[in-house]
Amino acid sequence: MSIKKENLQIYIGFIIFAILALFLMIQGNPANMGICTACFIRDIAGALGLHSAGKVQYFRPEVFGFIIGAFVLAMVKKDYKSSGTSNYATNFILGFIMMIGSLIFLGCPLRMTLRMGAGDLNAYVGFFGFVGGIGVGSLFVKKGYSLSKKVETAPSEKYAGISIIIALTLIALVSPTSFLASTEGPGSMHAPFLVSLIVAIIVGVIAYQTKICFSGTFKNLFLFKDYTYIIGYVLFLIVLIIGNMMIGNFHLSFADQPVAHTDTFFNFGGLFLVGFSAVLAVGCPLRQCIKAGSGNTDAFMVLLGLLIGAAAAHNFSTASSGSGVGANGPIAFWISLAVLFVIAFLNLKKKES
Amino acid sequence: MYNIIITFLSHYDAVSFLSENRKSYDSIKIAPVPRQISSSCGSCIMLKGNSSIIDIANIESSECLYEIKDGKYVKVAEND
Repeated sequence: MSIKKENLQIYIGFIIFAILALFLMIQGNPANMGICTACFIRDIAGALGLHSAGKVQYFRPEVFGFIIGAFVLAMVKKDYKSSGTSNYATNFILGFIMMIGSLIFLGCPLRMTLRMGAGDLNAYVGFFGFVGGIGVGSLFVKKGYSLSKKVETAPSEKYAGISIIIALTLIALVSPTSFLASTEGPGSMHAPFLVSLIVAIIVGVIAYQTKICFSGTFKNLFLFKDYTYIIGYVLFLIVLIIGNMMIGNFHLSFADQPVAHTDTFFNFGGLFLVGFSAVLAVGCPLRQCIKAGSGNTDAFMVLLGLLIGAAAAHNFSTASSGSGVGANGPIAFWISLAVLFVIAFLNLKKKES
Repeated sequence: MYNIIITFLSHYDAVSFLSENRKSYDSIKIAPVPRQISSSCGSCIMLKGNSSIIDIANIESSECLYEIKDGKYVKVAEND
């Protein structure tokens, strides 16, 4: 495949992705949320009973679909392999903080872009925070930040994570009442289960094939001056803007946006945490799903951190809501920021003299 | 233009190689690892040179050496 054809594949991947996100909103997923990885992991945490926020509990098949889609393509291409470092706790903490930041802003980078595409100006504030966090993370990468070398994993490790994902998906298919489900609020809004699952599997395949990553898009710009994914990202945003205008979901304003608040500092700060932690963990929440589907054990630890982080955010009132930042959101923000700097500094590679 | 790719364990290692070898090659740059080589994220060095005289066993934290032939990536050597 020529390099131009490879880039074209990325652009088309972004465009299809945007159309599918809009499609899921039309099918019933919450407005401006469509296919948000962090929000959906939060809903899954609720469905599993890990938190008791009644409005955000639903077993979202999208997250499982992303992982299964990536797994299927990795198997087809014969590049599925179990790999990872031994930094379990660090990856867990990075995932945890990624979720704390996402729920302070109210969305992962994917939802940030969906909100931007629907005219939510708060998301544009968040965008600058996200890019700023990636910029700081990239500085540490340039200075030598790296988690240790990948290690060989035990044979049982190869299919352990994906087995859990497939088993949970099957349980949800056969016995959906096994999980908690909201009767009001965002958790009660969803596309039909099978539609969501199939669309998410397609997204997983696309994201695996094209390596789409919202933090990687900007990291590549900072580290390599590589604009390939930026062009794809802009196309993604343009399709969303046009699509939202067509379905009457484009409202250019700060106020009265669905599941969003107008606190400028924490819209910026929440996504700053996400950008910074995503660089340190090598991937945004969506990319972590794709990496997990291809056998990366680090990504499974990040996903676990995201899941428990979502439960903690609601149990300890750090998550924001439409009325503003949660009571403990500010303290969670500052502690998370400090922890990210500690992780970044501790993992700077020292040049041997 | 570039005919050789060297992949590294970390971005920092790739940058270190680049800064130490910038003057040794007419064309050399750091880039994301091409998707056809790896589905994971990472940094690589692209350069114009002769693959037979590059010994990646002597390049710190390098992973693999590829040659670009007819637009395809051919693995030439791999570090343990």
